[in-house]
Amino acid sequence: MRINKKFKNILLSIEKILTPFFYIIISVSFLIGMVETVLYPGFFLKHFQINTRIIYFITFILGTLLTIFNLILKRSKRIFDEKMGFVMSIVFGCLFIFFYSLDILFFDNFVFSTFHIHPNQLFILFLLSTTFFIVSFNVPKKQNLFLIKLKSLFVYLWLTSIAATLVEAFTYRGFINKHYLINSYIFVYLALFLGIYLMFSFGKKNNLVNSNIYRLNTVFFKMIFTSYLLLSLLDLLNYKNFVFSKFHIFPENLFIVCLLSLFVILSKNISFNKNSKKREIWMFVFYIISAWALYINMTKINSMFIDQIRFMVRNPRASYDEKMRRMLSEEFYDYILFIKTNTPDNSTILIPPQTNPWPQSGNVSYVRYFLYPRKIAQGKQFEAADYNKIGIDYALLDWGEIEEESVGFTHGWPKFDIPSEEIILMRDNNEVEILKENYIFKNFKDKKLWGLIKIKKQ
Amino acid sequence: MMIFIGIILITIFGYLLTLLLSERMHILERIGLSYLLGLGIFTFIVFCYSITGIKITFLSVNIFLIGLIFVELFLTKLFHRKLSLKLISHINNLKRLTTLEKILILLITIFIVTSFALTFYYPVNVWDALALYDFRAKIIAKEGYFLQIASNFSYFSQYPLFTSLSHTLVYVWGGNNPQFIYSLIYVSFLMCFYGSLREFSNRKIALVCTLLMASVPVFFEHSTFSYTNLPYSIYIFLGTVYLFRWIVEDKNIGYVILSGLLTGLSTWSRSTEPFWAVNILIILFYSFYKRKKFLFSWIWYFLPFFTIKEIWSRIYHLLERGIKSNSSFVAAEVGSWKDSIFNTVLDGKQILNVLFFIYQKIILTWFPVLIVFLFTVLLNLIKIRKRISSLFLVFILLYLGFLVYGTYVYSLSVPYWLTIPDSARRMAMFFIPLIIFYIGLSIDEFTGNI
Repeated sequence: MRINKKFKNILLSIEKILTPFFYIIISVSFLIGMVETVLYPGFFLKHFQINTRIIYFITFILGTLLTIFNLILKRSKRIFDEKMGFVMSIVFGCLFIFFYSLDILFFDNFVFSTFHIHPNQLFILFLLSTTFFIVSFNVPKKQNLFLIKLKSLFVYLWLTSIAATLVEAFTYRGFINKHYLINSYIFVYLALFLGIYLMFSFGKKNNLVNSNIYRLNTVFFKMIFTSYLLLSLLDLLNYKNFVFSKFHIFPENLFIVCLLSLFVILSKNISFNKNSKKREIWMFVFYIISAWALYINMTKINSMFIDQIRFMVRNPRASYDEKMRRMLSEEFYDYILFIKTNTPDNSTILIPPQTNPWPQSGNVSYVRYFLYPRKIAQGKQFEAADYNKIGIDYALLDWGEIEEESVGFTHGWPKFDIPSEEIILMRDNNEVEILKENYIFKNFKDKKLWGLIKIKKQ
Repeated sequence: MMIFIGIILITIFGYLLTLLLSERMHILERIGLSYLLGLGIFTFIVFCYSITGIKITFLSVNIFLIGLIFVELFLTKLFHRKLSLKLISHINNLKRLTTLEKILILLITIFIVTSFALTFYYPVNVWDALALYDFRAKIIAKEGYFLQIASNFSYFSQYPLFTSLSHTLVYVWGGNNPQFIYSLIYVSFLMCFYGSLREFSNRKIALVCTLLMASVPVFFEHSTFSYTNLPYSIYIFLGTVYLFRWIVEDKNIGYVILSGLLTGLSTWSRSTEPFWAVNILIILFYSFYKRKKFLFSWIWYFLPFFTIKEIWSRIYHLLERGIKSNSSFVAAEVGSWKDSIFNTVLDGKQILNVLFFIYQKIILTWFPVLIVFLFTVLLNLIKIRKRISSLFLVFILLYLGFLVYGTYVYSLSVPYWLTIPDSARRMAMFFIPLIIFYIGLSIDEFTGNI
């Protein structure tokens, strides 16, 4: 990148001012972090009224600013060697994972009660070491060396983002943000952006990680993806959050880990031709938009079908009736079975008008599917008819299967008197109540009933 | 077991037909097309022989199917077609796939498996299928006829019989849940889509577009229940693609026949929408534009299309309106458009209403594929006149123009036209594969691989 000399001088002078200040504040942060690790988080706030979170925040902001200057100015001589920060962050990262795993394996606060160490604080130290490492990063003047360096930075960020998302898979989304004021997704985005930049910059040979890490990652991907599928299946088989309540794992968060791992696997398969870079960039944008479209589609399909799939997985041996009850609503399907049981095959049945609240039981063609060979006739809301003349044997006594009502229509049908032999009422648990009386509408008005009216033959 | 054998026989019937029409075809495309063509044409044949009085039974269906396969075998020998699929060599080719390609295939497979799981598990349960398609299938399977009994039932001959007779075949073969037919249609379509696109683009882009196609929610949804919209959209899309391929690849006349057959089968699924007219316009224009070479090509298109469309139109008019006529109903239908083309008053405000309705209720539902489509159109804008894919874009625009004009004419005669956005959306489902196919075509041209 070519930069204006004047601008460069301004950046240099700002950097000169900020650098010592940064090293002072990061040392203070380390000191605070270590003390709070062995004592307890909030020690300084309680005794010295110092909010340590503000100090950490200033450290990270300063670190980010200095890193940006470093990249623009390509400064190769740093006060501290970059290896020091790298080793420190690896040590603190491993210690954090080790102690945190012990807490998960045994019980909450196991580490504190045994070693008097707060594992959560180790993560702060890990973040501070990472900032220290990035600020001390030597930026070579030559482009190739610079890219190789960036590659190690990518590996580092990528591993950090995997670790951070794994932690959130075992705790909850937003855990790191809540405790350490840093969103775990920042690492994910940084790693992805850097990875994409490197893929473009390296052209065809774009192995983002060395072959050993690549092989390990492939195995890791298979493991984590299988775990994700199995845990999601367990959630499906039982109930939502089953996995979390039993194993304290959020399967959804494991998916991000899968994606990060997949990114490195795919990076080896996507090559960019340096000679036609513009075209390659557009192609890459195409793949990104397609991936986004795919993600949107998959989310939509998931929301459309998750209930059906859940029912299917939990009830693999469900009967035809159980499935139909699930798909058509219990109210309607139970009622249609009741009608089928209580009417002979050669009967003609009068049904309500085709509108709300009888969208299903009032539709001649729809009801016909279940009641054939019985004949179906459409009734009106208020008008009675000469039933014997048109050959009607039964009329539905139908409250309606949904809550909504169309304009001019209300629950409960028929809204007129019918001379009847008997009224067969559908009760709970497949029970039937028979009333030997005429159907007088005012006796049934506003009663939430379903049944059949057997019409009196004259 | 018999259902399985039946489906295999239908696929063999379709396979031999594709072999007769085109010798060279991508293996996946041929397998997919075999099922789609086999099911479509065989249900139509079942319908035709039942009209003559032959009862639709287990025996008659199997005798006709096996008989037709023997006739096709004889013809393949006559035309010296090679029957082998070379499956082993194609399976060996799978080893050469890259990790990305394997992942794409895995994702497509997940969609397919989920669709099958849902259709094998859930019985027919959606509204129109219960009210008409499956009810009709059960009655036909029980009685053995359609034409002879149709007047006994209300709302029985409103739609063509493709879905109902497909269900009938399953019932005749001893099955009780015909929903898996739609998953098979979905997977066959994806195979055809990939195979057709593979003719123009590299494997990676073809797979990305096929995955995008498989993931379109409305297509996936329709693969899990018994509606007519999925087969309709697939048949009309494939009819257009084969016509396009005949034009740009300078293929043999078999592609024109395929296009005519598939467009005809779209009217065998749904006959109300007149989008088939776009393909007719294209072939007529092209036949006369390149008349030295292709003057009579349109006849090859018309023969299969007309046979399917006309026979159903006759039965429909007879049953629904009691009309018998010696003249062609298709010709009468086309003739009736004269009025709507020349006598329609153009009302600016109404046109705006229609455009707004189409944009809001139809086009916006193509999101997010629409964004990818617009992106590829923009990429190709610079050399748009030189691109092969631009011809396909013209096809899409023709369909869009037809949709706008058709909706406008409909809006003038039907006052409640604004209240049926769901039907309009389902009717325009076939635009989605068209635009994804265009994406595949144009993006590959953009990378310079053609």
